[in-house]
Amino acid sequence: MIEQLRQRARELLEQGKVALVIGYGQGVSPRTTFPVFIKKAEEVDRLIFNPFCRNNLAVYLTRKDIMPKGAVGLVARPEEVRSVAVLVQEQQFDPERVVLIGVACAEPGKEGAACELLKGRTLKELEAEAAQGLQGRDPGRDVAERLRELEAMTPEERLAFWEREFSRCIRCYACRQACPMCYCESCIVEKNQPQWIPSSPRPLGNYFWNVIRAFHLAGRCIGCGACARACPANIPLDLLNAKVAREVKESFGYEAGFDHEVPPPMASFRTDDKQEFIK
Amino acid sequence: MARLLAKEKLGALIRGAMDKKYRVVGPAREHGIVLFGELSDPAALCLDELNTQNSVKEFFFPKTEPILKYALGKHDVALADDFAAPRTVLIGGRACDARSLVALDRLFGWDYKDKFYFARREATCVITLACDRFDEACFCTSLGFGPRAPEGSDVLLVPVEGDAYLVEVVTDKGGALVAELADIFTEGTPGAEKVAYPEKKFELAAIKPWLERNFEHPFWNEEFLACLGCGTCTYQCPACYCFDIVDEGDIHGGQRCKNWDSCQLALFTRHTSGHNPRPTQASRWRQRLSHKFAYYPGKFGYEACVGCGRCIRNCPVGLSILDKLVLIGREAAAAPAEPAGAQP
Amino acid sequence: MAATTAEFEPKIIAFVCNWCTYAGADLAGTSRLKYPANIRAIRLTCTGRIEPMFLLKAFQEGADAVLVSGCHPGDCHYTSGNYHARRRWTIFRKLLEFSGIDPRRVLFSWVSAAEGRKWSELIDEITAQVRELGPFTSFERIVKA
Repeated sequence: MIEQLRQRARELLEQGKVALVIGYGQGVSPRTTFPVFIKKAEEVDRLIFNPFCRNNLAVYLTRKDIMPKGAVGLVARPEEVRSVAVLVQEQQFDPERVVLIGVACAEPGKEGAACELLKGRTLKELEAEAAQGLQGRDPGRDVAERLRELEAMTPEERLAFWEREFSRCIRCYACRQACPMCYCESCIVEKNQPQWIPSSPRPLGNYFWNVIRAFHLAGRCIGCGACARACPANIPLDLLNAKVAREVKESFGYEAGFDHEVPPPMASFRTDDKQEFIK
Repeated sequence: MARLLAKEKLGALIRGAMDKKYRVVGPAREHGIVLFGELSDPAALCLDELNTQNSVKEFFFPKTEPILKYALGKHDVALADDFAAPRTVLIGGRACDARSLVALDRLFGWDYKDKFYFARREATCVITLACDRFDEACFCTSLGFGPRAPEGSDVLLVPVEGDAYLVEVVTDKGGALVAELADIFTEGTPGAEKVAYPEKKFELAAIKPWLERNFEHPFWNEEFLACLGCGTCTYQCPACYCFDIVDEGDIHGGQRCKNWDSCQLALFTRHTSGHNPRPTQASRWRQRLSHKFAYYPGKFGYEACVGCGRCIRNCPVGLSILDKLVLIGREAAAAPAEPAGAQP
Repeated sequence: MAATTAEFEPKIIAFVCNWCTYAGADLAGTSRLKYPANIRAIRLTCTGRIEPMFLLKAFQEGADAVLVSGCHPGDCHYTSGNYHARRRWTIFRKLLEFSGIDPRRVLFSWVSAAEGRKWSELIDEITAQVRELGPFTSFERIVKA
């Protein structure tokens, strides 16, 4: 499977179809991998794929300082496919500029889990394959359980929980920087006329920052978990995103990243949207 | 004969310090990671991990700190500046952490003596544990010191055979604390030292000259593509000290705060006009490496890096400053007469 | 903040749209309908203009509850602003609840320019409800931390 992956990358580079292939490379220990940027066909042997490839590589597609002119190749798990779908849906990225090399792992994070190349070539085909692959697979039994635990608490208990978690937040913005959907050139947290979100890493600002980021990702977050993995303070911020994603699914029947041709849920509406909570 | 501390007596040492009304700070497991924090109980001390996720910096230069508070009255503004550093014993840091304090002393005591930082320094007794193991991210030995270096510590505990530590008093402050808690220590012949030294990975002396001569080298644009531009490395680093001053308050009052800031964030050098003299992550990394290994040592005689490896272990994309230093070392060895400002 | 619940007068910030709810509140006034003075209305052009940050800021500044009110669906002065707002609130109120803010402190309504009575009765009801809940001390703790 890895040989086929490398061969596809090699062909893309040799044929001049792309100027760069972004994929995963081997880290220091067997369980670590990191993003690699291959510009020459002879370097494709640096590419690997295994259950420990967890960074979301789509984050580099909106980086003007590293994207070349022309197209790039992207080793794309379902997470990357869906992220690209959202970027295209939001008109942030021209789908002609990326050649997706679809890959998937049966159980991310589990040593020895099977990995395969996906069959799809176009974004549409890969979106369908991603949807199929993720159907029936519990995206995170762990996440669902932790959500349930929190939902069983009173609002006061939850506030105390998040206050405790966010007390460790150092406002490094690793969560934002690791997220392909956080591409705003001027983030709300950088605004100071007025200062919407206090910049000090104290409970109030930390609370506002994490809550607002989760809200800005409504209908856009695909649940890759890169934010929570990037957090150096082990804050379970993916739970906020998971909760919002679940509400979006229940209220609007929508899940992000499976169809780049439909309008985003928070930029559209139905005249008969539910409103039982409105007096 | 030497002063020894049985390993099982570490808890008693902490209890002794707590009884004498010291705040005790040490590594403790919290939410799945080991962090330096105020210990509520000697049993909370956790030495399972090689080193903590955060550095001791937090206790001398906190992530956020009010430097003055103000209250608006009818006709005046009342300023309050009520800062006091609690007496603290900092236990369980490593030689790298201790050395970072010596490096930071230079900056915070340079043209203006930062009273907050130095009040905390004076009020804190640093008890360092020499390392008996290391991992691939450690590189203290490449920076001219090592896991048993006493600089920055008040007391150094060196692990020896026989489940004990050899107790070395480094400063008067350390000596005073040891005297205060005398009955926890014993006299004896120390067993063999169990200190583990990582092998040297690069030639430090070659780094600064290479950095000074290769501002435009293609290395910068090629090696840092994966960098996400977050502040994780700078905030976990014991030797990074940049800060931002903000006023937070309303019409009644508020406070002026000193908060950690990071040169890796794009906003760091963005001008009001929108122009950014460091517009790419490559330029920000060039700044980071050059600052730590050329500008800072040029000015203060100390690298602003202690080889603790936290930036490497915490980096979400596995970027390793050590790898880059090794690369530079090789480049420097291969082409020692690199002309200044070489064009890519 | 008042010491006991009995003396406690809740501060309720209302973000209302200019064309419907604000006019409705005006009508309550000209009709001499009485309602508690605990409500402080902030007028915006449309509920579609209301950013979630406004609600958070209100809590930061000491609000015990927040009300957001605008034109009925189909009646928006800008045609669809309130439809977008409705979607946002659907999600944001759930996020606020999940992150620890009691949903009884975050309220939404449609009040038209003709519904002066509805406005006054709504404020009556909300004020009583929030007075029961008491001051938002848990959030105050976060603000001061």
